[in-house]
Amino acid sequence: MKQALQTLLKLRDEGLLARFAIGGAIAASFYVEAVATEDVDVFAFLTPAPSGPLLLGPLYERLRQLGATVRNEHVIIGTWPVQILPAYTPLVEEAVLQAPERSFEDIRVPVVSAEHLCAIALQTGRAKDYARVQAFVAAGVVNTLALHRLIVRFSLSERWLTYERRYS
Amino acid sequence: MKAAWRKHAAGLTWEEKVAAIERMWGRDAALRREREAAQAGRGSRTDGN
Repeated sequence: MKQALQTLLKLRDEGLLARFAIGGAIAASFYVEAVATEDVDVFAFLTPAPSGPLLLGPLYERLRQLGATVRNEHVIIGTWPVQILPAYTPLVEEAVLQAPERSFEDIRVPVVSAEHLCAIALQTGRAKDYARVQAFVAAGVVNTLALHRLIVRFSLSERWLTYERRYS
Repeated sequence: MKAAWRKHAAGLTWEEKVAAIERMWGRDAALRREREAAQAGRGSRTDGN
């Protein structure tokens, strides 16, 4: 994992990733119990080409130079499959912009906040996403006021009601 | 038992939790191999009938 995180930081330093934050189950495992996952989700702002469009080619080429291999939608860095996902909604964009840095071994890496992870889970809305919200709430790692502000701002009230019906 | 495990899990560092996830890969792969071997065994018995 450390190798994957170091590689992502290097890409950011080199400007190929404008910004990124760890999301998904690996980010969740910072806050709550670990659950099985096969990959690392990375939400990223990719650096646009001078002409405007986002280009994955240079990013993947540099990853290969750094020893990574590309397999379908994943980049294998060390032992970890990494999925680099462009920040695809305003909520995920904000999650990347506001991600606090956390320590993994001796490096500092941006990790999506507990509140943004819960809001993204509500937005995604699968059964396992609601279960993730429940795990965060039960563990007491969520700032409830901050989460409710996100719920209002990103129009997730219906999803929150669904969550409450299932878990209250 | 469950509460004790949860207390233990809550005390793990991020690095320890990631290491636990990596160990799950090995466990899952072993289970998958067992399942495939069992299916292959059933298949060969069926083939013999």
